[in-house]
Amino acid sequence: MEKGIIIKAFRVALFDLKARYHSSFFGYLWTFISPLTVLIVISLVFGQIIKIQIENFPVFVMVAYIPWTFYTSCVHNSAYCYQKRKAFIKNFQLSPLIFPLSVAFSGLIHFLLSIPIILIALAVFNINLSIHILWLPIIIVFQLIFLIGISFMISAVSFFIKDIQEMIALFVLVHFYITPIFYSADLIGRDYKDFYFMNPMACFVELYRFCFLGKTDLTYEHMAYAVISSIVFFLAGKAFLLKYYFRGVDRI
Amino acid sequence: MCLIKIENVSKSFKLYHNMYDKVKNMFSFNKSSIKLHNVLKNVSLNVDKGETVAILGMNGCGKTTLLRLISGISFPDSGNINRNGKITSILSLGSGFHPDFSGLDNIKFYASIMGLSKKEIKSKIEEIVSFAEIGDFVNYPIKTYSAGMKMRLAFSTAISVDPDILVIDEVLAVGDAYFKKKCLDRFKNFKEQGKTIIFASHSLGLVKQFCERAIILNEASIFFDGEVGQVDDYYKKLITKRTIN
Repeated sequence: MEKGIIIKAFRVALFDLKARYHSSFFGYLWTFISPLTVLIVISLVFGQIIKIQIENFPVFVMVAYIPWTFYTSCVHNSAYCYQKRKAFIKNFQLSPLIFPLSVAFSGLIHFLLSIPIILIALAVFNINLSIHILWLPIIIVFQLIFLIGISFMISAVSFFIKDIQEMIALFVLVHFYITPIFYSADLIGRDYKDFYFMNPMACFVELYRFCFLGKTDLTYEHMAYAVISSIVFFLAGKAFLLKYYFRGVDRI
Repeated sequence: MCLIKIENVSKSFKLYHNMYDKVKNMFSFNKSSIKLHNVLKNVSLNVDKGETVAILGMNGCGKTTLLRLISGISFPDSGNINRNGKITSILSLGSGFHPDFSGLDNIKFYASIMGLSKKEIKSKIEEIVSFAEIGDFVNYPIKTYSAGMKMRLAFSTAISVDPDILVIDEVLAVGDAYFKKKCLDRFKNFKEQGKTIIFASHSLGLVKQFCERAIILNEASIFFDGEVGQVDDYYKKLITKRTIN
């Protein structure tokens, strides 16, 4: 990809972030408030009431849930990224990649800003970081590549299917339960495990757990799968968007 | 030198009544049942460097579509469009600004999306603000602006990019007479620099004062392409033809 496209996408992402916090009362604090609320609810319901037997359950969930919000923000925002910037794509000659890319970038910035929360939580629960934390940048890069691919696909579809947002909301809800966020992937039987980890987000979530907590159920095949699937999603998404953008842009 | 070369370009839009139609068509083999609206059919034209071309025609004759195709915002169904040089298009104005941000922040964002570097933006910002004549308002949010102010700001931002080819749709309608004159002066300035301007208009007076060449579109094809002096005759012909039909 051209450097110019990436720079423009980055500027759009920064502008979007600024816009999101500009007129809100709590501003940047929302980055912490909403995941923390969900975490408290999940920890109470599954940790205290249902009593899932996992050590340091709140941290266990948090380490998975925060990367999950990175995914959901990309999926939700890419569905209307062109609609939002209609004035630009209808007026200037721009690369179709800029706006979906900016969605992934603003998700990334958000995610990077919330990593300190994870570190604070680890300190509060007296969990020491292991050497595995060094994998973190690599995992983030591949998750980003994966999410860029997804954003390309969804934004291309959004030209043709107007109720994509409702569909996505439903899909994300289902996806949440088939991803090991508030339970451990150990629970999945041996027979189903390979099938279960065909979900790239399950691989990524487990990778983050490996990174922060140092234990995982993943095998090297699963890790390779996460890497390969992110590259496949990226290339397929880019090709898909470039193919359908020409028809789609007239429909908006 | 030929800056824009359009060869046999066609563009049509599919017409659907509603979503059901669309889904039905997606799965049916009989594609001929879709109603197509041909906006442009086998249009060919060349624009040379330094030319000022007006595009005229009745409502719905495909002026804006042609301008979109030229600027690379929309894409033809068939045919080729070759462009040599940087294009700036001003097709519709005032939108795209974030209402909560100041004019200054919006200008910076707008200009960076249009491909200016931070340094270029910095050097041009004064020029943009002074051309738009919005004075102190530039530091206040866009939501406090009047429609005319927004339009002036968008226009002066767009024009600051310094393109080789300027594509303008009829956007000056919002501005007052004074700003209109200022814009025209700016266009003349552009013309003197040997740059190419393509613009759509309904005002014959403006066209004759400003252009050497005029193109009249009618029924998806070029009705007239030539010297601006003849435009009156052809325009009248077109109107009588339409009235008879």
